Amino acid sequence: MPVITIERKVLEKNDVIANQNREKFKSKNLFVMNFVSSPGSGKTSLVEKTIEFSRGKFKIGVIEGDVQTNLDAERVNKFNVPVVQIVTNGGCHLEANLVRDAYKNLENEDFDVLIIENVGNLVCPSSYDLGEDIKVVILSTTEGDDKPLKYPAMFRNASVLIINKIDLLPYLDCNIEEMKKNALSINQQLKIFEVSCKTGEGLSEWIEWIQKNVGKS
Amino acid sequence: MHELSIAQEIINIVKTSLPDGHQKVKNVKIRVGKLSGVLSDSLKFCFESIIYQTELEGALLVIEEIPVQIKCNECNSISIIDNPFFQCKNCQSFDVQLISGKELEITEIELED
Repeated sequence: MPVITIERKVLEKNDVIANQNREKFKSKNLFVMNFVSSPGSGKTSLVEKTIEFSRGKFKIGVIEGDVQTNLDAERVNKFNVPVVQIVTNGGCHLEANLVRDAYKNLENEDFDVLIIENVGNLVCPSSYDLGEDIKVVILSTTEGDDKPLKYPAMFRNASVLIINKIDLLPYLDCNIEEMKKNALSINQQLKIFEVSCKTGEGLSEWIEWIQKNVGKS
Repeated sequence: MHELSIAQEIINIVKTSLPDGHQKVKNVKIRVGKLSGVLSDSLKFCFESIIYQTELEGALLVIEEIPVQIKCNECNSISIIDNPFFQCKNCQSFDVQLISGKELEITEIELED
């Protein structure tokens, strides 16, 4: 029986473009973060607060990814930072080519940190490299402390875990120590920040950490 | 959820790898890591749906599932893990590196005689 041996990665096309993106970002001296989480964990709020708290320290550009509407780009636009919206029209994740095309609109803007807000989904975005430096996974206290165990691939691939909505802890059964233990059992290297985008608690530490990475990539 | 686009990528790669005047495709062999984020049954279903009434109709997607394998940075043991805990089975350390489980590769295309 004739056999053709090929040994090719299924997502090679995406990976090639992701690497081109990475080279481009590197040449612009950008620190690039891919924000991933389930819907409603506070990704856009974290983008807003990161912009607000970073004023005078470093400049941010944003690529917003959503299944539908440009509501998030409008929210970010109020902060007077360069922003471009990707609408996936049903697509459950961003792909490297979408980021490449979106970035063309930001290329002449002056900023140090690019935040790519992925589509809210803890499964599919983990398979697609966009050319980012790191993945930041956001998990809110309302989602339960066992969530990392349910989505191990995403927590394994991320470098930073932001636990959001800590202001709600007194009202919830979520055990934050258990949540951190579960996340670290999947990825011991995870850098964890506990924040509230509502009250601002914990955000200064997060901004300081980003600042250490600016200009290093 | 993204199995449909993965199936489409597989079909694109298969089509561009076939020689001119080839026989009918019998099997497409792929390796899918358990940490690749792809569900094998769903991927098979999407593959069959896309090739329906095309030149590839009848081809089977043969999936080899690759376990999640880790190597301990402390005692160097290799363990296969079937739960989400990335912990060495020998010394219980969490300081481990992933050595397999993220694969998503096409390995072979088998044609009919």
